[in-house]
Amino acid sequence: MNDVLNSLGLIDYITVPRLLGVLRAVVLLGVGLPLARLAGGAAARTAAKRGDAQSALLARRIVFYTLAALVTATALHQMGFHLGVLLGAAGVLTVALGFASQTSASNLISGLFLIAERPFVVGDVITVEGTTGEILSIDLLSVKLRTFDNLFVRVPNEQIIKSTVTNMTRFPIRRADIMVSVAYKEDLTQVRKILLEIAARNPKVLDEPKPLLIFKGFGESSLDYQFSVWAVRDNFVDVRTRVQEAIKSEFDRAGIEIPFPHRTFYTGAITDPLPVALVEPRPRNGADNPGTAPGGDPDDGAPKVRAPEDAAVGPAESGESARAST
Amino acid sequence: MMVAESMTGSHGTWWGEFGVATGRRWRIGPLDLWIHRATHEWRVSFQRGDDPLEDTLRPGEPTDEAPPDSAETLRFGFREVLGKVELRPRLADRSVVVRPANPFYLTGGEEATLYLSSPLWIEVRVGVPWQALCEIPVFQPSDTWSGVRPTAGELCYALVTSARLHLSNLPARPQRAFSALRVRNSTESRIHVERIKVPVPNLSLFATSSGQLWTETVTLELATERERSEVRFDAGPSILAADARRIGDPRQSDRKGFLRGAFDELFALKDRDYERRAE
Repeated sequence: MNDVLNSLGLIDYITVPRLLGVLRAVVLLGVGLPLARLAGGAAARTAAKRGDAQSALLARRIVFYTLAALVTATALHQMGFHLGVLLGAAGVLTVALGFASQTSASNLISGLFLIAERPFVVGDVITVEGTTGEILSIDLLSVKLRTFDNLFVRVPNEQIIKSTVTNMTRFPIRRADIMVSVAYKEDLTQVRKILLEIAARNPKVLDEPKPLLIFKGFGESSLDYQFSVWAVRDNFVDVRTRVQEAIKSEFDRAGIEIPFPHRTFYTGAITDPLPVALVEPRPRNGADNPGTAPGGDPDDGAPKVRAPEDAAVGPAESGESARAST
Repeated sequence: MMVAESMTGSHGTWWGEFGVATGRRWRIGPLDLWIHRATHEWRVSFQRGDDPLEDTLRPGEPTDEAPPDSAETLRFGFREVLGKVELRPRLADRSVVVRPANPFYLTGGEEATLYLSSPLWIEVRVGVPWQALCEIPVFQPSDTWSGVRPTAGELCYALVTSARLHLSNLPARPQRAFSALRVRNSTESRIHVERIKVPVPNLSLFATSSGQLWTETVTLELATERERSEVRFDAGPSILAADARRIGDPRQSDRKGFLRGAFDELFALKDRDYERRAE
């Protein structure tokens, strides 16, 4: 036995102090690791009382691994290992961690700047990169939003710092810009009068700042106006809806046309006018035979066609001339 | 500038205590008001016309008819319903920005008194001791913003008024409260009186023997140094309402809050340029 140990060179290694050290290490591990586990459990129970299951799990892991690491390090130290080397490795690890946590660090710093700058507070409604929502919380790494259709959105702070954020609830009043188009034939004085009366009649439209009616331009199919009315922020959506509804009903009442896009078609001064055939509407009666081809017997309910030269004749005579021409 | 002349006509008071068997109906200016009493509830119904200056007045007539479906109804449940209701007139719950239909100039050292009529709110009260059920405006005035800039200011009511400078031109309006507003220009330059913010929540209500309601007279004095400008409240209304007695206290007794920063809005010292900038 001694020969085997001697040949392996272990005889010099296994000395009494070292054996005692190993024994101490074993005792440490034997007592320390279970203690660490108990401590982890206690931490988890404390965390569960104050937080949720996830924080309990996190607390257990953090406490256990920290204590286990301490116990292991002490045990290794007892066995004679020098832990200075590990510190060097820790330096390299830090660099690697730094690269890995670039984004998180950026979010953290952005969060600190946001807290200092206060472009918005919890409860404001913001629009960032196309998403609009109410701010639920401004955390270290991100801002949590609730969209108006009740979806939860997490926006990283870095994205907020880098992009344009619109705070819709910073100022107490807001202007609704309504685009109104009227036909070219309309009397613009009357249009202006009607629009300003609509604003005056609605008590939620602010008297001041005064409603504005701005002529935007001579459009392709219509005259374009911008009608701007101010309202308190809370009433904004209601005012914008009601004013537009009122515009439609008042224009209908006054006979003012909001035109569809249209094209005017000229054949030119030199060419003849295009021939146009007027088609009378198909009479709606149950005797219609769906199998009959149109343009057959004029009495079977098919559309009656009038030739252009008969178009000047009164409608009462069109039936006869249609029969004559078909 | 002021000519003393008695207010014409007496329409009788529409406010005060009324006994209610099943129901009563009032017509106060543009407002139709019904108050009905049932075993364990009070029902208050109302609907309004469009004209804020409508003069019709029909004080509470007993009625059994139900209000029309188009009227808005508020119901109040009670264990025990006593047979009395009180209508109490009140002033607006916000400051009122008055814009004379024809703004006028006031040269340095001059003073003008404007007579305005402002809409009333009706507080319906029942029970012993009196408990307020609701408050209904006789006419819903338009909102307006009193800040010089749209980023800060105060929500007020707008009153476009003929802002008469002569009391005899003011017809009796029992459904509105008159105020005399004295504007004094103690500066050396001319001012254009285009809009005035009146601290209505700080005003009390008075009633003359003829049933016309008044507030106390308010004096707005503009001095060359902004800090020396001030707003003063008289103890009572104009001398033309000498027999008036107080019937209501101000909604807000703190008058200092109004004085701070009020003068930019009181007189059109700055152009409201934000609305003129190019689109």
